Parts: sequence; C-alpha cells; structure tokens
Amino acid sequence: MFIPRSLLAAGLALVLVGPWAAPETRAAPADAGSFVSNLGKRAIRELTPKDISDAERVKRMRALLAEAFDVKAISKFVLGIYWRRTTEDQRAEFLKLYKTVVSHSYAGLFKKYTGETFEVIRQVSVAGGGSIVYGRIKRMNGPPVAVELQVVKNSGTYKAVDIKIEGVSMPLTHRKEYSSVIRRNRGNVAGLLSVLRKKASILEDSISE
Amino acid sequence: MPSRVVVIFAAAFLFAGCATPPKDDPEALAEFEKANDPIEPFNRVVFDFNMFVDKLIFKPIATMYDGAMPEYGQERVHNVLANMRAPVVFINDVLQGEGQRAGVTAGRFAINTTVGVLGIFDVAGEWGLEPHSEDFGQTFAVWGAPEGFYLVLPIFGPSNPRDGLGLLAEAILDPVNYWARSEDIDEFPISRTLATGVDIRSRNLDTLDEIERTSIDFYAAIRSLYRQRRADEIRNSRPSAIQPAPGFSTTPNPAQQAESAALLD
Repeated sequence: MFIPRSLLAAGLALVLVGPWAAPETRAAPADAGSFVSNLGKRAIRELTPKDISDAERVKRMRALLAEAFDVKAISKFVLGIYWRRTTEDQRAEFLKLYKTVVSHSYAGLFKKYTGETFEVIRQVSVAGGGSIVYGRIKRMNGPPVAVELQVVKNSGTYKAVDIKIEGVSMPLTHRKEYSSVIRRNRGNVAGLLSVLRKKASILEDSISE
Repeated sequence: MPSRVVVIFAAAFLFAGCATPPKDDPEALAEFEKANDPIEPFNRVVFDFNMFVDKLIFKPIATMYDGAMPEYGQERVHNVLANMRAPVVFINDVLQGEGQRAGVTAGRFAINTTVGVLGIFDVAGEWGLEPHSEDFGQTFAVWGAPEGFYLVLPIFGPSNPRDGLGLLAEAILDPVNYWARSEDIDEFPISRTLATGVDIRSRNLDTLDEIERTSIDFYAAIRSLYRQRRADEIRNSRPSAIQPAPGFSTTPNPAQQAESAALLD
C-alpha cells in the first residue's frame, strides 16, 4: 500500500511525541488572521501580568518583537529618505536602538492593562502581497480599542510590518518624529543616533536594579 | 488678563518667526513640505507653553480626579458629558449625510436622556446603539475643506485652521449652550468645558506619559499622532482605499517610494 512519506512522517511524529505535547509546539499559523490572533493573545498573556518586573516585561516584549515583527523593514521605512544616506554601521546601530525604544514603549503601554481580551474581526488581502488584519482589544471599562496589523509572509513565516492603534500607525509616527529630529540636526543621521543613544540608555537604566 | 495672553502669543509669533526650509536638499525639502508646519517655531513655543500649563495645572487636577474618583464614577461623568454633546454629533452626522449614524445618535440621546437619567447610564449602548463622535472640523473635511497648516492652539492643543474653525462653530452653535444661555445659566458653558477637559485629560494620563517617556521629539510625535487620528476620525474608522505600509514602501525605485510616502500623509 502506498502511503505518502509526509503522512507517514506525521504519523510517526504523533506516535513518538504524542498528542499531549501539542499545546507546547508552536505550529506555524494557517493564515494571517490566526497569526495576529495568536500574537495579540500572547501579548496580553505575557505583558500584562502585574507580578513581573519591568525588566522582565521589556525582555518579553523584545522577544515578541524579534519573533513577530519585521523590524528591519520597519526601520527602513522609519528612516525613509535617510535610509540611503546611512552607512551599514549606522543602520545596524539604529536597528539596535530602535528595538530598545519600541520594546520599552510597548512594555510600558501593556503594563497599564488589566483584564483585556483580544479578538480578530476580519482580514483582507492587499495588492502587492500580504494582508491587513483588523482586530480589537476589548476592555473591562470603556470602548474597545481598534488594532490593525499589516502582515507579510516571508519564506513560510508571518511577520507584522505595520501596527495601527485607533488609526495611528507606530512606524509612521516614528518616521515623522525621527525625520523631524534629523532635520533639526541639519539633515544628519548621526544627530538622530546620538539622541536615540541617550534615550535608549535612560530607558535601560530605568529598569536595571 | 486675556488681552495680556494675546500679547504674549503675538510676541512669541514675531520672535519665533517661520520655519526655514532646507532649500539645498530636494528630498529633505519634500519631507519638510509634507510636515506642513510653516510656523513650526511659533507652534513649538505654544506647545511648550501648553506643556508647562499642563504640568502645573491640568495634569495635577486630572491625576487627583483619577485617584479620588472611582472608575465607576468617572464613567458616569464621562457618559453625562458625552450625552450633552449628542445634539452636536447629530447635527454633524446630518451635515455629513450620514443618515444611519444620525439615527443612532438621535436614538442614543432620546434613550440615555430619559431611561439613562440625563445620560448617567449608557442604556442605549447596552441595547446595541454604539456611541460615536463627530465635530464641525470633520464635517468641513467631508465637505472637502483642506486641513491647512498645522497649528497648536493655546490650551486646546494640536489643531489646524479647519479644526480650529470647527471648535469655534461648535462653541457658537451647540444647542445645549443655547439652552443654557436662554435659561440664564451663564457659567454653564465654561464649567462644561472645564469638566470635559478634566475628563479627556484623565483618560489620557497613561498614554500621553508613555509617549512622552519614549519619544525623542514629543512635539513631532504629537503632530503626527494628531493628523493620523483626525484622518481616521474623518473616515469614521473605515479603512482607507490605499494602505501602503513599511513592507511595501521600501522599493528601491525612488519615484515609487516618494509616491508611497506621499500617500501616507
């Protein structure tokens, strides 16, 4: 009898690992909607507990950012016209500092949350690839918060490239803010890096005991 | 006192002057023009003034209110204030040709003012009539008025000529204020404005603190936030037709890149 090899392998894996291990495995989500749904639930589960330290919250946010977001593409977008004017070293440093600032920023926002739940409402495909997933954070008090993620699939894994909360995009806001800093430093990316370096070190100091 | 404030801002405008565009750098110039903030130095002075007043007066009051008033009470106060704005929301729903939304607003006002005891309880919301907000600035936008340049108003904060005019229209045309004037309750509009200010500020305490803590140019961050938020409100949170995002606007073709960036503004 002919049994496809993949099926055989799957059957073997099931026998060996057993179904009880299923919740532990991080299976790749079937579509952009379930990717975002998992991401939102994970963020609330991991980042909102009151009994963890600020350092732990930032650490968890860093891991989440690295896993679920295409931070390189976002950085490129944030630097906009200045991306082509930066050296490889400057780009690497920007990426590192940007991850720190974003991790602190989201860790700080989630810290204030209690009892929220996240749900995906719908998803649409966009021209040029990827999808936009619309969801909302339901709160115990007050109206729900609209969340919108743009997601792309690269070599089998989903990554978020844009996140909007109540219509406000985080990368776009950073792009505008950082280009203002560059402009005030006479078009110098080095000026932005120096300001970011200071900000990142203040933020890191705030969580080190 | 008010005239002295006017003099201070006139002086600030004269001394701060206008923003200098980076003329020798076409790309940077395009970015500068997109920021659409020709009176940026003046705006920054007003922004700093607002931040100063906020730290001195508004934030402490909002923090005190947030700490002393239980969440349940805060919700009731918010509901009453929101219900009082319903007539203005209704007028703007109608002016924007949003029949269904106008119906929802009228229904909410009728139910919440009566069954909800002058708006204290959002009974209509529980019955499935979800709240939404509108204002004259949004109506002018729907009619095709451009926002104009970025303008930071003293106390009222981020704005533009269109939305500033909207605020003025609301102050003059609000039926609830009309009613108060006809009843000779002169202090009503100002008390209501103050209460609304405390309500809004206390609801934004954490978010604004967080943005300020992690930002490197708070002024520019708020300018962008305000514009995006307004654009979303004007669309009534409906998705815009074209949504370029970081993943799609990093094409090596500069013309395409510029186009994508332009769409984002």
